[in-house]
Amino acid sequence: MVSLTNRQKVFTQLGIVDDGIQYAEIAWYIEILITIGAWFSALALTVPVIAIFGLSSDSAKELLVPAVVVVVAAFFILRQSTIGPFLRQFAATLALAGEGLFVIVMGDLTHSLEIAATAAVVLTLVSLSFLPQVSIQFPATVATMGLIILAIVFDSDSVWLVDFTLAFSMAFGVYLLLQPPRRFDVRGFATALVLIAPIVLGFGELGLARELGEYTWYPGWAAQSVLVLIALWLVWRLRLFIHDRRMQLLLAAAVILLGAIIPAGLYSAVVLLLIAYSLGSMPWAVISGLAVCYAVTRLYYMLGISLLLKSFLLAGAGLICIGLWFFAERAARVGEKL
Amino acid sequence: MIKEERITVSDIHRLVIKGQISSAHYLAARALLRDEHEWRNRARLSLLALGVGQVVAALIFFFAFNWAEFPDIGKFAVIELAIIILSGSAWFKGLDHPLSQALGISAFVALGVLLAVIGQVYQTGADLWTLFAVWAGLSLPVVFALRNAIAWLIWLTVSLIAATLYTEQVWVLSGRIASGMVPIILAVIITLAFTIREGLSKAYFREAGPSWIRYILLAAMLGFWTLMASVTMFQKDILALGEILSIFIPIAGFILVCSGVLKLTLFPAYDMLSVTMVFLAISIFLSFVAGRLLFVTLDEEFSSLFLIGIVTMTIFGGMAVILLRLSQARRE
Repeated sequence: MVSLTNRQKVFTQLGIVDDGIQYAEIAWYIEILITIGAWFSALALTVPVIAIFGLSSDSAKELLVPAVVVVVAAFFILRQSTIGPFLRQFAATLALAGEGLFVIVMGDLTHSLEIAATAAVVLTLVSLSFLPQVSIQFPATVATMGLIILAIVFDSDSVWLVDFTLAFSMAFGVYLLLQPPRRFDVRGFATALVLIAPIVLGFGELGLARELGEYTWYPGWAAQSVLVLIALWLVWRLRLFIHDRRMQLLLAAAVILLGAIIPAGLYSAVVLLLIAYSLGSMPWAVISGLAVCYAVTRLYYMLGISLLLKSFLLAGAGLICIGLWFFAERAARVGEKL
Repeated sequence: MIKEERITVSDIHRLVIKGQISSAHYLAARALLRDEHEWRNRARLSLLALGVGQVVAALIFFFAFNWAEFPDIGKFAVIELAIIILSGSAWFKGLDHPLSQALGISAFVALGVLLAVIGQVYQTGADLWTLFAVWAGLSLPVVFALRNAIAWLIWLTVSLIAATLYTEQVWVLSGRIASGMVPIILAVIITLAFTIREGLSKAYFREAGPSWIRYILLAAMLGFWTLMASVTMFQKDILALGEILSIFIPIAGFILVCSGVLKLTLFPAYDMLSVTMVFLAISIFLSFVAGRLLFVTLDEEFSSLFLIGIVTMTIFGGMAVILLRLSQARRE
């Protein structure tokens, strides 16, 4: 099937009436310039407000006033109908700074990381409706997830809970990416939820690999099974593109086998590859490649198991991928002959 | 000619948010925009790359596990054998083939590993810059033969590391130049590389490579010049050549590079990515200049930050408006 880029043809194929509205897309590099400018300006304008209110007292509760001032100013700008992309981005960044200040105040008043993390979750979820920019949703979500992880690590001894949180948030993120909701643009939020997993899991425990090294059952393995379920769901969604049922079954089998062999960090990078293929997105493909390199590097420095065992695990995973490639090539050649 | 109206992934997303396409059909709608044949090829290629990459990583892990116990002769034999196999296969298949070029680049990288092992085994005590300089020198014929832009990019990186280490370990330590001169020397080398690449591109030489090579060199060049031009705002006599020359050289270099790139990319056809990179560099530099001037003028008061914020906003906002108009003009 060849791609369609003609607007009318696509609308006809989808069976919907063209509303005539064209998405005023700004090139990504111009978006970057706008975002950098907005961050610089917002920082320069927020720091003196914090300094004037916050530095005069030992308690962070004094920051409540600047938090409100900054958020009110941001909403005042956002409500104007004639503002351009730069001012909109600037106001969104101000709103993010205000939310950040509010979370700091909550944490300081209650001396609790859990309350600060809860406040961050509530503010992030509430702001999704009026701050659709990826450059705002992404850092807000990353910061919130960071707070949640810190709260788990400092307030309980169960590090495996971090694995579970990351695995479930990745599952939610993947769902939002492949089936985006109506009314809300949550691409930045979903992207952050998905990307944070391979980064943190690369530092974390090793799933089955650790079991092989220490011969003890480890709860991280249960979190890894959530990742396997995500990968299986992605394989099921790929039935749109993979019409050969045997090939799809082979892919599902490979995904389960890889889940049993490779550690969570590397496995979540493989999940990113499946997302890239499902969405047909080059940026996701590049990120997946980088994530695989990162995960292999992290694996090298893991002290939990020996290099010899790691090399066997990687060789096994590599051979599974090469085997799958062999079958995919053969299926493609048969398809071409037909 | 009637202009064909195009549809993008963002349009599909907007239709889902408006409820015209259901969430469950989002992937199917996106699938209409992709070249399925192309994506199947990419998927198979990435599967192969993932498999081979993991096997290669497994081999490296395996050797790393046994490296200390390996006899020295074995270490040399493994790497030299790899170089012979890689370069032999590349030569056998013909240097024009993409696979041969990948093999040739791998041989070039393996040569660096061999030199590092020589240094490790014999403990020569030489300065680190010699390793990179010898690596760059010995691999030069290979890179010439490959006629590949990626090979040249890696070679340039090795040469830049050699130049950095040499200037820091020899010239700076002996007091011949100030450490502030090192980024200027690197910026000049990258500017030369960029100019040569553009010359090769105009003459349709294959060595110029795809356009992303231009962007990498441009980003590195602008990064160094912007850094140095901005730093001179805050540090006196950074190049140890006198206050005037220390300010003049980085700023003149920055202006020259920005105007040269703008002239190159605005005519005859806009290269908007390059133009945006230059605008970003100019915005950052101007913001630092304004920040420095206002901070000093207003007696380093916290309130001067307000003014700096507004000026920064004006600079970046103004640049964004110009870029959006240029981008619109290009589309029309």
